[in-house]
Amino acid sequence: MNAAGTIASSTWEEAAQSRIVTATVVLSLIVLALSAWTFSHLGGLGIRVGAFFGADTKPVASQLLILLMYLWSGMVAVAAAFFGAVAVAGEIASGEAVSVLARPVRRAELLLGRWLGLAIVIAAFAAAASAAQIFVVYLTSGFVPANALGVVVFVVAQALVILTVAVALATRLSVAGAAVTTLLLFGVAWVGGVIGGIGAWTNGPALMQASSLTKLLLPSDAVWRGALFMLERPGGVFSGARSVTMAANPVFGADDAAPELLLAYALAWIGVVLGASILAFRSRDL
Amino acid sequence: MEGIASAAISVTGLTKRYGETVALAELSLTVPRGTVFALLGPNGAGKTSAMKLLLGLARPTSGRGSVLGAPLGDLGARRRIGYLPEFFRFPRWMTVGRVLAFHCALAQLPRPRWESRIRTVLDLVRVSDRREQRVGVLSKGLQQRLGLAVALVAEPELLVLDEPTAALDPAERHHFRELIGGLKIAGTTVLLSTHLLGEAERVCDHLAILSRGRAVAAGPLAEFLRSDAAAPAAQGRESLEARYLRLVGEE
Repeated sequence: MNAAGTIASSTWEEAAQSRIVTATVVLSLIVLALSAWTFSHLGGLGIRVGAFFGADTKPVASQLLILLMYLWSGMVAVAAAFFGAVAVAGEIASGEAVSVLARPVRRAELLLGRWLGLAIVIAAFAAAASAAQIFVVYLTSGFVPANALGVVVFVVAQALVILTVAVALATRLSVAGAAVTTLLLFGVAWVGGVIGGIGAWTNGPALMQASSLTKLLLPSDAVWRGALFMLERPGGVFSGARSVTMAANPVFGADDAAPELLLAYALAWIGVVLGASILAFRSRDL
Repeated sequence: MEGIASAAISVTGLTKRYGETVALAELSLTVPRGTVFALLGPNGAGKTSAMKLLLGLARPTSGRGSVLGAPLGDLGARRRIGYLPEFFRFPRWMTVGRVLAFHCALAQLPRPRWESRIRTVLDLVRVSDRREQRVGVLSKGLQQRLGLAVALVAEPELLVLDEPTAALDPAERHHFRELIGGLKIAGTTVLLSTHLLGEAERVCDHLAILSRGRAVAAGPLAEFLRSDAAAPAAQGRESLEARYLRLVGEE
């Protein structure tokens, strides 16, 4: 096994023994249980708002699922930002990196090993959490999103984008600096997406261009919106908004074929940012 | 020429600046193979910076050098170097044995040799009974001994030790001196930095004194201790401490 593989496998070992990971899994199970209880009581809610939704509770389930997926998206983003910052900046600050890099280990191998180790842990968490949530909703309400697998893939992609930002910043900033800046950028990208949506509704090209720019610079919200579109069922209550938003998007196309392009762009972006991180780390004095 | 060829470390005009701060200024130094070489100097003299430049952990502003016949920071040469940093930490969740296995892998030691090397270094630093303990529960002294074990695990030709006895008690320091003596007999070159002049006097055979990033004196210990005209009268020999204080005492 090369150095990057050795470092990645030590990251998995650490995660398997970490109390924070255990606590996150327990909290996730609690959220899933609470959501199961909520969705199992949607029948009553459907009667009360029946004038709007009729007897079918699936539109309500669809929107509640989107709300829950916002929670998972936020949790995964925070985890990716925190663990990414600790794994690199924390290792540099504590002196762990010095003892590793005094070995015949390239800085690129250390960085890629850490990224790979965390990427697998965080991707597994993001995939398991989102898949479990979709399954719980299906079991309790019968609602299945338009593309459940696509949702999982896009939530994972968003987690990897955020992790990459954190790792990149951690090559130069402190743990707190890298984690907080990553979350700020995550928020800015999300606001950029909202502004793009407003631009599409109001037919404002300046807003849409600003939104497109944020999507290009940091595609976390772009891939998240990809997940959102797949969470809706065809003909859902917000499908009109979706088509307007997608049609107005000058970067990622106007139809359902766009998500693949979006995903490809996010993966390419991750590669470029990782490459830039390696260059930044190589020139850093330890 | 022969001297440089047989040198474990040879640097010329090595300079490191951090912004306006000069950490190391025009350092020229030769560490002969098989010697125990001490870098002495007050805090901020440039000892740690010099070691980091030798290992490629920091990049020199100017100057050049070689370590084990390879350029500074060379990946191949690092297979043959063991390093104990002044400030270090091993993952708290790892056991002592796991830390050593991790470093065997990073040092590209063939897998069949791991177990024997781990046993050997655990015996050398006397922590064999702690093999299954997690790093997080070890005392500072035990962690220092583990650090030394990690530095030794790949059977290095050159051992670079930055303040290796800082956290050790007197008995452990005594054992450390014996250990260094044994390594020297085995042909290992040792470069160490320390503030403990008595310790340096007992274990090293060459030394350099750094002050404000410059080498103010360097050479074999025996020559170094010979009194010179500038030294105060002292029965033909000046103590290391007296010489040290005379060179850097004004700081």
